[in-house]
Amino acid sequence: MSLLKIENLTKTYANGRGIKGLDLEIHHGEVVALLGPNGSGKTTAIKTMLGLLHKNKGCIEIQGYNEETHMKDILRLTGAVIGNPAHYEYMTAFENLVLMQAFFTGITKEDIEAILEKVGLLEFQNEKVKGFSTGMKQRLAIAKAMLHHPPLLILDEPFSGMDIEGRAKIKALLKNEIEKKQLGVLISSHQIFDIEDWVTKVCIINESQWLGTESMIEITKKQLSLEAHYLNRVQEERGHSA
Amino acid sequence: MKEIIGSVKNEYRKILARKKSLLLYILTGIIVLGLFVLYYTLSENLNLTVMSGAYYPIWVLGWMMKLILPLFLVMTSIDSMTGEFQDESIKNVLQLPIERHQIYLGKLLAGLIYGAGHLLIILLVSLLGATVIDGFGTFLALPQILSSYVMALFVLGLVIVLISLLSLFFKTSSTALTMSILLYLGLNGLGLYYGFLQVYLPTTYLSMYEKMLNNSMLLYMMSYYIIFSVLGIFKFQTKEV
Repeated sequence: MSLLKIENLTKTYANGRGIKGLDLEIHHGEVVALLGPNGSGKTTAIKTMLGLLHKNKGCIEIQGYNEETHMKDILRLTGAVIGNPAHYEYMTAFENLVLMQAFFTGITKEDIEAILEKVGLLEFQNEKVKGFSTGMKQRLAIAKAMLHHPPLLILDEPFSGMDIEGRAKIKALLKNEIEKKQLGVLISSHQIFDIEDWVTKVCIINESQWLGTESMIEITKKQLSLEAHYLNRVQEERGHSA
Repeated sequence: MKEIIGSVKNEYRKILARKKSLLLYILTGIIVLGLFVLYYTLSENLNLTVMSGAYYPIWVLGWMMKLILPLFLVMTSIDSMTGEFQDESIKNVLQLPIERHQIYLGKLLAGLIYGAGHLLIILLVSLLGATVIDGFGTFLALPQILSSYVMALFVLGLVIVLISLLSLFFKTSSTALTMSILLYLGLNGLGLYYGFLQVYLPTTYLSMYEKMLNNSMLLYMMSYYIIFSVLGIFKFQTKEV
């Protein structure tokens, strides 16, 4: 059974932008990169998958649970970082994570400290988030996404605002967790070099349209780098539209 | 039920974590203390007994209910509704495995508990004042005092339900607050101009909570509770982030 299955997902805004006809499947252990220019519909797709936006049509299933009838189960099985991190800035990092205890059984104080240590925030756990840098806030968002050990991670620009050290730490953490727990990951990033060496499939979106999904093996067979493949596909599409 | 309790706990935790909310609790205590000093000084200097000490806590409550308490709760409700949509921190709650209507109810109930905290401060400080004025005889009137406070909480609940619904229609907290104040003034004005409308206006009940047990006002209030809560849940469920 696939971990995430999306068919014909469509969400459009009044200005006609959004995402149209997205198909996507992620299995355990797969890392799928969602690539596209700014405003192409990546965040809209992710927000729609998580119920923050209401789809116009299409089907979303996570581990067999349909989003229309089992949104609670979908959220239980998913950890997500969506766009700019938005925490409760007047609370400490620890308090932000404690709020999850009420809805995920078995999360202990030790679990919270362990995840804060993994993302490099343990020494700042009692500091108000208000004083955090963007990178630290992003790391806290990743801690939130991983605290309840979900089998699926959906990460929208997870490395934005992070310094080199923080980026390396989070990449290592994610790679390790994916390998150890066979997590499925959907990741969108503008920094192709951050994800090139560990994605297994690439899904490209341009101007709200889904251009297709290919495996990294196929891309490598064409002797293309991920960046070259992405640029080819987007330019090809622009040529067609022109 | 477990989810709603969890939601209420989280929402109340968030309210208390905001410096502003704690400051409003302190402010309530200071205002009630100030009212006592004013009352005591005037009655001592003018040698007047305006009321029996037993009714002092009800008199204080009457003053606080005129504007201060509803305003404090309006500010808190707007922070937890419009405020969270404005800074997008609402994403945190919406990613938890809980139904949206449970989140909404959690916010309403946490606001009510916060309001109950204000009433408790007013009750304790004013009881202390009443004891100074009239000795321990005050406590004989405790059942009547308590029933006034319970009814006041019921009215404040309606304020929270109404403002929470209203604040879902605005993008910024300042607009929501301005519109709430304008709505309050507008409804009051409407009631004054068209007297027959008063019985239907939710603002009427802010000052008439003591009489609620004795007439049909309770029914009107219950209807408003249901209508505003259902509309609020509907709007909250369809709102996008």
